[in-house]
Formats: sequence, C-alpha cells, structure tokens
Amino acid sequence: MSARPAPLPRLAAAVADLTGAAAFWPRAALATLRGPPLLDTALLTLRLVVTSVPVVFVVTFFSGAMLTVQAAASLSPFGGGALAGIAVGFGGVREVFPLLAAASVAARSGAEIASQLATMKATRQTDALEVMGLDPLRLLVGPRMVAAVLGTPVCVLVGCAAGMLGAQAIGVWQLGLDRGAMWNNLWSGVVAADLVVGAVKGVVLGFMLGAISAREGLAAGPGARGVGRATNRAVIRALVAVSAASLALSSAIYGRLA
Amino acid sequence: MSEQRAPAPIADEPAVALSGVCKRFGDREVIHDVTLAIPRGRITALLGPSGSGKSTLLGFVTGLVRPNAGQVRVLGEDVFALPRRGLLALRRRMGMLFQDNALFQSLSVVDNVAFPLLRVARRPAPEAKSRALALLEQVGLGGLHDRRPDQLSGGQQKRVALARALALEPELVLFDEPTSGLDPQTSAAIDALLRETQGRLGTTFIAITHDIVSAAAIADHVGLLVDGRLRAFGTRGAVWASTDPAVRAFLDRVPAGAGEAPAAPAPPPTGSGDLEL
Repeated sequence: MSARPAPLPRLAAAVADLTGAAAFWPRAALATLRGPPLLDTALLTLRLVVTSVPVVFVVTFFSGAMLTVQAAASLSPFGGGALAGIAVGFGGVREVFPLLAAASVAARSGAEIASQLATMKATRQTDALEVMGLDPLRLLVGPRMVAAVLGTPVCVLVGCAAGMLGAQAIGVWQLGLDRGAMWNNLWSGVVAADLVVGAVKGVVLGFMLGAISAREGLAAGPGARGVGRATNRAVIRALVAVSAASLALSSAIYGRLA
Repeated sequence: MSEQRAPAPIADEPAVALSGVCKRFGDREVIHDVTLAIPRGRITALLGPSGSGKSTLLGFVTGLVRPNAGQVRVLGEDVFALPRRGLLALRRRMGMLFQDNALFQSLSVVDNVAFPLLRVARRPAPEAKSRALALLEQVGLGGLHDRRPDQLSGGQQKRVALARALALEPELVLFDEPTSGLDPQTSAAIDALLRETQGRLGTTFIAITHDIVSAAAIADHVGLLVDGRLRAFGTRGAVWASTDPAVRAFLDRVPAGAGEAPAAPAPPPTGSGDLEL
C-alpha cells in the first residue's frame, strides 16, 4: 500500500493543483476563441448532445416525478394537491432541472472528455502533437469546450421538458390529479425568461464542466491509474463547481426578486 | 533601433549541440553538465541504462523538457530562447518516433500518417492520403493502411510511427527506444529499416536506446550516458574501443560482435514483486 504524504506537503500540493486548475481556464477560453477545427467541433458537439440527452432525460424525468410526489404530499392536507404543479414548475425549471441536467452532462460527457484526454496524455499522443508543431489546446481542448458550451444548454432545455413530463406523468397516473389542471399549474409559474435563464446557465455550467474535465484529463498521471484518477477527479470537481455556480447564478438572477 | 535577426543556420553546424546542460527533478540531478555535438546526416545513438537521463536529453531537443542550466541548439536554433511560435516552427522540422509509438488510436493507419500532412503542412486530403500510402509502402506496410493501430503488432506499429515521423520530410528524426518491447528478430528488422531509410534520405537520426545490439547495428556515432553524465561520445568504433571502466562495464554486457549476431534472449524479469494496492 502507498504511504500517505504528510499534511503540509499535501496542502502545498492541493494549492499548486488548484492554482494550476485556475490558470488553465483562461488558456482553455483562449483555445476556444482561437477557432478550433470545425469538423471535429461539430462532431464532438453532436456526440455530447446525443450521448448526454438520454441520461439527462431519465434523471430529470424521475426528479420531476419525485418533486411532484413530495409537493403533493405536503399540500394535500391543505386540500391543494393539484397545486403541486406550481411548486414543481417554479423550483424545477428554475433550479433543479438545469442543475441535474448539467450534473448529468458532467457525469456522462465530462468523464468522457477527461478520460479521452488522459489516455492521450498517458500514451504520449499529446506530446506527439506538440512535437509535430501543433497546439494540443487548440486541437483537443477547443472543440471539447465548444461542444460543452453549445451542448449543455440544449441538455438543460431537454432536462426542463423531461422534468415537467415526469411531474405530469406521476401527477396524473399515480396521484390521480386532474390532467388539465396539473398541466396548467406546471406552466403557470414558468415564463419564457426562465427558459432563457436556464439556457444561459447551461452555457456557463457547460464552460465550467468542459474546462474542468479537459484540465483534469491533460494533468493526468501516467498509466491506467492516472487515467482513472483523472476521470474520477474531473467528475467530482465538475459536480462541485457546477452546484456552486448554479447557486451563485440563481442568487444573482433571482435573489433580487426575493 | 536596428532589428536583430537570428543567424542563419550554418551547414556545418551540428544538428544538435548541448552545452553545459543540467537538469534536476526536485533534489535529484538527472543530467549533469552534458556537452556534446551531434553531427548532421548521420545516425547517432545515445546509449545508457534505464534512468541514466536519455529521455530527458531527448526532451531538451524537442523543447518538452527545459534544462536548469546550459544551452540547447537544434538545427541552428537556440531552443529555449525561441518564442512559442518559433518553437512550433522548429518542431515542424523534426519528426519523432515515441517509445510506445504514440499513434492516434482513433485514426486508421493511413490517417495517422496523413495527419501531419493535413494538419501541419495543410496539404489537400487526396494528396496527403497518396503520400501517406507511399510512405507506408516504403516501410513495408502497403496492405495494412485501413487497420487501426491496435490491430497491428508492435513491429508494425513502429513502422507506422516511422512513416508518420517521416511524413513532413524532417531534417532531424528522433527515436525514443526504437526497439523497446520487440523480439530480437523484429528488432533487427527495425534496425535494418532505420539504416536503409537514413541511407536513402540522408536525414539526421538520433536514437536513444539501452539496446547495445541495436546501437551497434545502426549507429555511426555513439554517446554513452551513465547516471546523467556523458561518459563517452564519438564514432561507434572509438566508443567500442574505449578503455574507460564505466564504458566497458556497460558495453561488455553483450558478447563481442554484437550487432552482427542475433541478440541473446532477454533474462526473465526480476521485479521486487511489490504490488501497490
């Protein structure tokens, strides 16, 4: 078994790691702005959407259903079970569904980005690009950043729709709520601006999860163990960052309305 | 103020010149005050046991590893004085064959070889593919161009990596352990291919290797690195005739006539058996 390093060096290593991660973000943004290869970018964006949407759909569908069960259970004693749709519409579309959609993209596509880049690093394919006189950031990170920034808002909107469908389905089929009233209540609290905000959140969260996943991939240690660790760290860090950013965005956007 | 231009490379200038180069990783000095000049148009092998600093030296040449002290000149350019754009331009004049080949696993064999032609030289796709096919033919892989790298044997992957390294007609080709992991017969075939290719193109080849048999078979010049210090450098004959005890201790591990006779089979691995869990 490997011995754990002493606390002070571990702290120093953690600070160096976080500094390296923070320094990577502007480089990733620059690589994205420098115009990544178009075909690679289009294919990766399509891949991110196609592979993430099923996960996002299932996760947000069930979440919408669960929120409805809880909301109906809380409101029923006061005779307002049908009003559950309003609570789910508000809280789900504004907060829960975008966050879960971004988290699902981080788990599905962020992990893929990290593991692909980590494998390329471990097998020295990134060094091969450098020795050819090519910039791995522009060639590898740029297209993945664009894919995450464009694909995540799509997934967020799909997540909102799936969450509403999940709420409607359980409300009508299991809780016996009126079909028309439930649907109207779901939409009564949601305005077009909420969906725009969701999409904007998707752009920001997509950039973050793309940058975190790419950085962890390119900072991977050697061998299969390095690839595994990088993938694991990418998912954990992306989930934490996406949750924190989601709260910060909500506070900035909706906090004024409180 | 007059603009200073970098001096034009001189034809007689060495392909690679290291001057007082040192490198430390933490407290450990892996390269100690190395000075050497590698001639153009020849095959030079940098020999040494594992951990002697050979890969670090190659890292200096590609600009991937920065020395703590000293100067590295490659093809007439001071590698670490170049701006990023200049370094990328210098790298385009080099080719490299990595120890594990570093082939792009998501691309077919022909696309791997065409990659630098498309992405670096910006050649049209049909021209790049036809040149890649010609290169694959030259390295003896004419019929395997549609396969993926992981469908090839180790020796075949080396040949693909060689074809890719030669695609941009580089002035300098670097080889990181070109026969590592290959059986003696395949090693001999790769050595013969390197010799034949260099003879045909006249390009400067630099190979780092711990394989004495391979170095004897391909090299015009040999350098011996032990514990980060350059113990010998010169023509193969001069280094092979060296009486320096450190040189003899390394070279005498293989029988006389190495490079002409097939290599002895490798001993079984003798790892400590510790498994990190």
